[in-house]
Amino acid sequence: MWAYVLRRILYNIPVYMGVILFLMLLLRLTDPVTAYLGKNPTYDQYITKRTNFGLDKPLLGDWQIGGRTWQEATGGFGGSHMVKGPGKGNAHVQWTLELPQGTYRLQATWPTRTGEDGQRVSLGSSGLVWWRVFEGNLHLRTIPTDQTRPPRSTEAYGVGWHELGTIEITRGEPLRVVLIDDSNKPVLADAIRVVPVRVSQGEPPEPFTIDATPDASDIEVKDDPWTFTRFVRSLWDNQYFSALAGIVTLDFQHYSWSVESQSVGNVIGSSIIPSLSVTLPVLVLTTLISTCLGLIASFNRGKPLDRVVMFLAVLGMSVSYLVYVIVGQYFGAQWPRLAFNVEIFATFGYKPVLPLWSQVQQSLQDSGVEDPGFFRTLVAWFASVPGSLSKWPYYCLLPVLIGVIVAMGYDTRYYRAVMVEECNKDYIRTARAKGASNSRVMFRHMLRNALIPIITRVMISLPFIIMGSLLVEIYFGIPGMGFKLFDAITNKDFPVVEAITAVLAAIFILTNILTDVLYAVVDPRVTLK
Amino acid sequence: MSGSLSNRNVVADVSPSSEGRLSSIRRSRAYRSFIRDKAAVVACGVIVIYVSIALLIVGAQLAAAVGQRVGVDLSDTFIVRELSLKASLDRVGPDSLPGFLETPTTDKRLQNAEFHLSRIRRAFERDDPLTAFENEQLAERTLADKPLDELRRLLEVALEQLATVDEDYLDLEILAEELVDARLDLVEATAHEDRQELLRAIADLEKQRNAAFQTVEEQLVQIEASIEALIPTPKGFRGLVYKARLLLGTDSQGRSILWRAIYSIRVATQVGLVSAIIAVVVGAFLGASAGFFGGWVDHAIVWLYSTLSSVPYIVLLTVVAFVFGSLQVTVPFTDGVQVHQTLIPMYVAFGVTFWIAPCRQIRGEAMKIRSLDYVQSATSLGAGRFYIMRRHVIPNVLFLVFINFSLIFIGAIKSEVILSFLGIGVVGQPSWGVMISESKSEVLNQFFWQIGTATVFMFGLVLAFNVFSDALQDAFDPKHAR
Repeated sequence: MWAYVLRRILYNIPVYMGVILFLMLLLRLTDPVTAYLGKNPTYDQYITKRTNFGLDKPLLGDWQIGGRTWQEATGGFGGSHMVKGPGKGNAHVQWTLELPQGTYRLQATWPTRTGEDGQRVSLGSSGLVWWRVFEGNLHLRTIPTDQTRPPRSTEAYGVGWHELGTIEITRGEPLRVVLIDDSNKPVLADAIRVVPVRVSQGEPPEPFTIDATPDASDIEVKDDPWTFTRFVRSLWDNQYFSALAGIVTLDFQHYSWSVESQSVGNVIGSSIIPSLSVTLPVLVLTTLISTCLGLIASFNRGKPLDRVVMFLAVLGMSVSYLVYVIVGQYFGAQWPRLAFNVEIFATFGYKPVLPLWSQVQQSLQDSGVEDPGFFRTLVAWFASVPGSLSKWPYYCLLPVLIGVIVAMGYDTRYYRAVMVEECNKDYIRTARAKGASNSRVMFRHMLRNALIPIITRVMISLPFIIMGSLLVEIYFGIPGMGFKLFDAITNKDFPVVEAITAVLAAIFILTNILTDVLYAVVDPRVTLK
Repeated sequence: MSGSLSNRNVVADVSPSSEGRLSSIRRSRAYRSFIRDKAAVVACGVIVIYVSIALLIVGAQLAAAVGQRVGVDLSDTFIVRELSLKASLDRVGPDSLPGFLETPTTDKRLQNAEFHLSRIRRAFERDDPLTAFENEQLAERTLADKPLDELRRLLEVALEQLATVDEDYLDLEILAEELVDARLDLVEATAHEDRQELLRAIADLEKQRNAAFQTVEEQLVQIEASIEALIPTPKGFRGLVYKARLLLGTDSQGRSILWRAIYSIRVATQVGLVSAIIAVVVGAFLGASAGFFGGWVDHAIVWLYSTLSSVPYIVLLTVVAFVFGSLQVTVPFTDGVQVHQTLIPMYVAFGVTFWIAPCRQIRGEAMKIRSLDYVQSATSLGAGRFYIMRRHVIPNVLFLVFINFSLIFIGAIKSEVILSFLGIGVVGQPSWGVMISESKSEVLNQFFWQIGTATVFMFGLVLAFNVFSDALQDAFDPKHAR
């Protein structure tokens, strides 16, 4: 028995590791930070979001041996340019210019080719490449550029130039223009062009360009070479293992991106009760009703009653869930208000069905208690439970009814199939032969044995219970897990999406193990397999 | 089950010609059991109708595309024009027009008249009204074939009529409000004389209101006649098409609900078919390999599907559709169409989500078959692995492939509705999901035509597939309870 339980647990460890890996790879298909921030973020935002979510670490390991140094390639201004694979800002190409005090326009170019329609097409593939400009050590500005488009602000020396911006040199220190490799696609470094606008003394000099070649004197090329020690370190210090560790230690300290004051743990914690307040009644009601219906149908199988029930179940299954929700909301909440001027259910919105701990504490403090202890708060909390719970029907009953109607078709069919299979078993025949009454056969013999598949189905639906019903929650504005997940998806709030999916998968696997164990307890044959 | 199925194979071995195979299928228990189920035969017919409409739409579009390449312009042919995407996206009348049987309210009729007249007036403000109206035209309704001056005169008359009816309608509304107030007063009044007076006033108001209503109605009839004179409802075949277009009303952007629902058949069939093919092929291939080869292959595949099925299905679907929908990738072999503008994210999401069930079932079945006596004896006779796979395993798991195919088809169509509602489903073309989610605000205004039409169209196909897959399961799997 224990060996069996242990085996089930061990078996589920690689499965869960696979889930995290899959989710991680899926959510990294697009760059989360750029997807969230859009095309024109500031460098600070970019870096904060990235480190906050741990994206500055390698995903699984520092495999990338090539592409860590700047390579010379042909094409672009002056016939050659430099290219480097994706990096994290440790490598750069730096142009150092001695310029008199004044105002200058900075431009940059990167190589292009001529496309089929005669238009210029950029050779670059990174949509976000950072240029940082310093005077001495003073940071002047950081500019994002999109290297997937050809540079085309101005035209000079036969190539297009992209305007980086106007800068002012006030202290007379050397100007440093740094192209950093902080990107998830290869970065191209070709040339910059300086157009003097005003200088403090005399006529502004002619515009000039500086081509990036590794051996030029005013250019510093810094590589980010692959080292074995770093590789070894990255094998455990990477995004994957930190995510796994975070879940195993129940550490959800990442901050949500769209609601910056909330950690993902808060988001998940605050959404469980609203989800449960709808899905738990749905589960209980549907299981009760559809087991009864299944039992009745299976006992009358082949007769008109069975046919009618099954036909209704199929009919119910053939209508879209969304239609139930929309029509249900109209006839449950909207129509009574219009036709009879009575308000039975809320159309949209939610009030906590259980009092919030912090609110109870607050109200105690407001009423003059200096420091409400745990026990005192607990008593007050229990005292306010009925008040909160009385709001449940107004906000949640209609969604529950809709959920029951939707789930009924599927469940009734399933339970009927289970019961019919039990009907054909030998022990039922024996019971009947003994002269047991119909109801005794039904409830004493059959239902008891059919409990195993029923329990399995209920257990399997537990994660969905916690997840809540996405559509109903969105439609009725119930801030449960489904609502939060959808919110996070539309806001591209990757930490929340990843945390919610990972937690749901963990719950799913835990219930799986629990089901297996329960099975083993109920049916000793299972452990022998 | 193995008995009947292996029996079928024996027959097939004896007479491998196509005719023999057909008759052997006819003689099989499964076929006879399926054909006995009348509901299943009807369902088959319904499915055939839906699929042939979808094929017709695809065919018309293909013909138009081929014609364009060859240099023959087919886009004005009736079938091609009406089955094109454009026909389902074009405005054909005023917004939210109710369908047949339901007469529009006075309020709505007034709005419709205003809608038509303002379009005609806009055209007449231009230098060349005829071509201007050509661009504004609503389906079959074009300007009447009369001299321009006469049309202009008709328009002026109609606009005058509209102005008076607007005023009268305002009066009507005021009267109605007064009536409501008076009735409220009556409820509060207690003195007998007051009540008598109020009752008299109410009767008077009612009379006035009825009279005002009568005039508004009469004027509306006149205006409608003027509009009819300006842009006559077409006669003959064109008139029939026009009537058909407005048969089920228009949506909130004045597009024909019926046309959109019909075009959606194509989208639904496409989504269902492609997703089901991807899921079933992947699932069958992996499941059969896992069950048949066992060992490491089995472990790897079981691990893969356990992993994917550990994420709740709706979450997996949403996240995959979202991620693929936000990829900035162009589709190969097209001129710059982005992936998120196509149905590809949905195919991927359905493929990733739905392959698990067939894989699991086929793996179980293949494992069972591998240990059957006749397979063992074939192995001992020296038959190769691939021979056994082709000869014994694949034919015997084919029924699972069919059943899963039809179940996934249903799943894909129903999930499309949810994804479209969440905004990560069908984009830029009509689908039942898009129609249902667009009717969200219409239902609040008690307009049920769009949601009703989409639901009925979808209901037909999904119900047919539900009945069909039930019958398939009954026919092939005696354990599936009857």
